[in-house]
Amino acid sequence: MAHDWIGRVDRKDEQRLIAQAVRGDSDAFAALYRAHVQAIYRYIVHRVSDAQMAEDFTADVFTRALKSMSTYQDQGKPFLAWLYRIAHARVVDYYRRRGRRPDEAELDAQPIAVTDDVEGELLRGQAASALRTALSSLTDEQQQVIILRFIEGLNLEETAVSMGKNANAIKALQHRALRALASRLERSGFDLENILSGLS
Amino acid sequence: MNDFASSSLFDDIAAQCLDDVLAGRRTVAQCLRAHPEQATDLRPLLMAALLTARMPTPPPMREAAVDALEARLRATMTAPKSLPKPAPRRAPTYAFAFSRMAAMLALGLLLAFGSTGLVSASDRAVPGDALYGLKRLWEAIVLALSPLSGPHDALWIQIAHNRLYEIDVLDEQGRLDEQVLTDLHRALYELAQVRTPQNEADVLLLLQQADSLLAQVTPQPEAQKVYDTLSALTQQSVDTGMPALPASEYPLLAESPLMQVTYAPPTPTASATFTATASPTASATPSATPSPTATLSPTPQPSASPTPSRTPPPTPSATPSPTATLTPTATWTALPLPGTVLLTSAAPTLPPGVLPGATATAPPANSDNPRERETQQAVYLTQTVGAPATPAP
Repeated sequence: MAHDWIGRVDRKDEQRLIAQAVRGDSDAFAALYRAHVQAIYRYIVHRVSDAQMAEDFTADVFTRALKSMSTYQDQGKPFLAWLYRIAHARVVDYYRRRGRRPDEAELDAQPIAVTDDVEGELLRGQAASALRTALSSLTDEQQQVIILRFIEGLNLEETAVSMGKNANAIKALQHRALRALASRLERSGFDLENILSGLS
Repeated sequence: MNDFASSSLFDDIAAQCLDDVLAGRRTVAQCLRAHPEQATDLRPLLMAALLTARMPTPPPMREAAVDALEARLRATMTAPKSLPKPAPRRAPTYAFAFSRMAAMLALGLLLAFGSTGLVSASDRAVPGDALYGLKRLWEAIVLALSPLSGPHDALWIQIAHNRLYEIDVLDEQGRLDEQVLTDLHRALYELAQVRTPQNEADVLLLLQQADSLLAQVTPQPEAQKVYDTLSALTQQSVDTGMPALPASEYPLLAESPLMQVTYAPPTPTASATFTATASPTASATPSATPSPTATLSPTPQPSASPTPSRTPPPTPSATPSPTATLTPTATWTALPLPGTVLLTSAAPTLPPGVLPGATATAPPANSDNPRERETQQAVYLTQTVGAPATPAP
């Protein structure tokens, strides 16, 4: 299968798979699932506190997608954009029900990839912890744009499609989100320049 | 932060610098030197973006979990679906047989019409587009032909998704108005009429997606009321995990983008006559015989604004007589499609029993049963809008 949109599925292949999945082809839906499961998982794991919960939410997202597949209408947007919206709704739903944001202890429990660079890893660990805490204090939309634009690496247009907005709205939103993120980090005594120089 | 930092020009500069820095085309220092007046505001943005981009990627989802989930999804897809118990068959009435025949005929004609590609081309049309009328007409026809065209509830879910798409696009264009939100409300109301335990998950997902979308859009001021109504429903659905659907229809708008309906509130008399004028010219004088339901409660509203309603106008007496006749006056303005009078599903403003251009007495369109209402629309459509679908001899 060819890939192009953020390194994933070629649009023509995807449209064919979607049409087959709408007709109940389990192989086609499985192919769509395989193409996007890790992206959805990463998006969720950045928003919730632990890997197990992220796996459960990822399962919810694809189960909901499957249930709605028969009524899916291909509107020219990537399938992943629809999945991101379901994932976003699932995370928002979780926090609404819980009535609070994840606390720092929960966020610290999130695993960090281990490398041979122990000192750099420690620094990254501290930075990651501070970043996750700051990120969790942003609005849902601000978190979404930060994750999609700067963690997942989507460009402006791709982020716009995934969030159902136009590119200009994303420019303004990413500006507000980054400003809020920087402000939270500074208020918690986190020196952006120092940590960046330590990471580089 | 100065005022400039909140301007769109700053958004553009910041976006360009972010792209360049993240792609390695420029350093933070180079960007700040290029925009010295904005450097103070740019610096924290670029730093925060760089830090975020350099954070370690979390480990991927475990392969075993990925495999297990795929197996579950496949099992769900291949599992035999439990079908609802079929309703006992009734002997078809002549009226039913006629409407079914008309529906079959219309289906044949419209399949040919739809195969021209016009219908599929109208999929992405939004209010204001040339093909939007066709899109809505097609929805009405597909609904009217249910279950031939699909289960009624699935069709309304699809229609609600169509409205979400239109809301999304209109919001991007800065013209999210009251009409499309009212149309969504109507679709949700219709879903409430066909809600079953089997479709609850789909309806809930629809409402969750609606909630997510509504949280991100900005309606025009006059649309705030219906927006708030919808938001309250979708948020309640998300909060409770149970679909919250409208218990009643939202007051229909006096002016629809597809059809203008002027509606004269009935004078509280015991008998009345419909007068419908379709464009180019069509009039009919059918009489409706409403059943004595609660919607016929005697609450005359002569001072009400000309808001068309699907429920019959009030009758003057406290105990509605089954033989009462109604006297609304509707004037229909033809739609952009030549020779076509489009009936929007959101503005099902056909006054009860009125079929413009039809000379036969129409069945009352005030049934409590949504499927019956749609069947009545099917008869109407096959008698009126069926014309352009007929191939030229």
